[in-house]
Amino acid sequence: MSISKLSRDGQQKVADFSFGLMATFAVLGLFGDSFDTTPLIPNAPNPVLTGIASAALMVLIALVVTKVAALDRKRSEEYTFQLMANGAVVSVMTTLFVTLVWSSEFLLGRWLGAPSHSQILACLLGSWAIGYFAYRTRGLQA
Amino acid sequence: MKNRLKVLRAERDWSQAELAGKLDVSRQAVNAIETGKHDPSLTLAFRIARLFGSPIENIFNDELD
Repeated sequence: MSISKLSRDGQQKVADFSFGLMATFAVLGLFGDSFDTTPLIPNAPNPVLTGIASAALMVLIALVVTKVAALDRKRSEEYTFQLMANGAVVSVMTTLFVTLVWSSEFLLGRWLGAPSHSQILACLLGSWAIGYFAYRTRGLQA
Repeated sequence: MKNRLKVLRAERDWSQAELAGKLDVSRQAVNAIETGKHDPSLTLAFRIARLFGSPIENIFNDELD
């Protein structure tokens, strides 16, 4: 069943469940990845090509996601979408700040080591879930 | 923003779920609007006004803040 076929209450319940699951995976990911000793992918052999390819990929995916988000907004209930959107702002700001503090040798980096990609992703998902539930509980005006 | 949604709903003896069904939103959304936790979009505000047959400014009032 597609999400648009669900009742409005159903959509809200799916969102609640998904964000609850996301928070759980984020905590497990943050904790579990701390024990992962797999070496990171080595640096790209051709930095120029990597720079161009990654910039192109970023632009392309951002445009696709913008289009998909517009469709999602039309099909979602506005309150649920607003909760998700506000939660996403919390998530982006939190991840930026945590990454800066965690990556710095002068701040948390000296004790925690550099964050892995999985840990940054877990931070992003976890803080999105926290933002979602914070607005869900306290209201969008909070 | 304050609103009279709860009063108008009570006058018609509708539950939050019934009102949500008529507005095509979730019950949680109706609850959030009634308790001032969410300001509806202009589209939804117009839908609410049409449903209750009352001008928007009679239902929503930003001067009550």
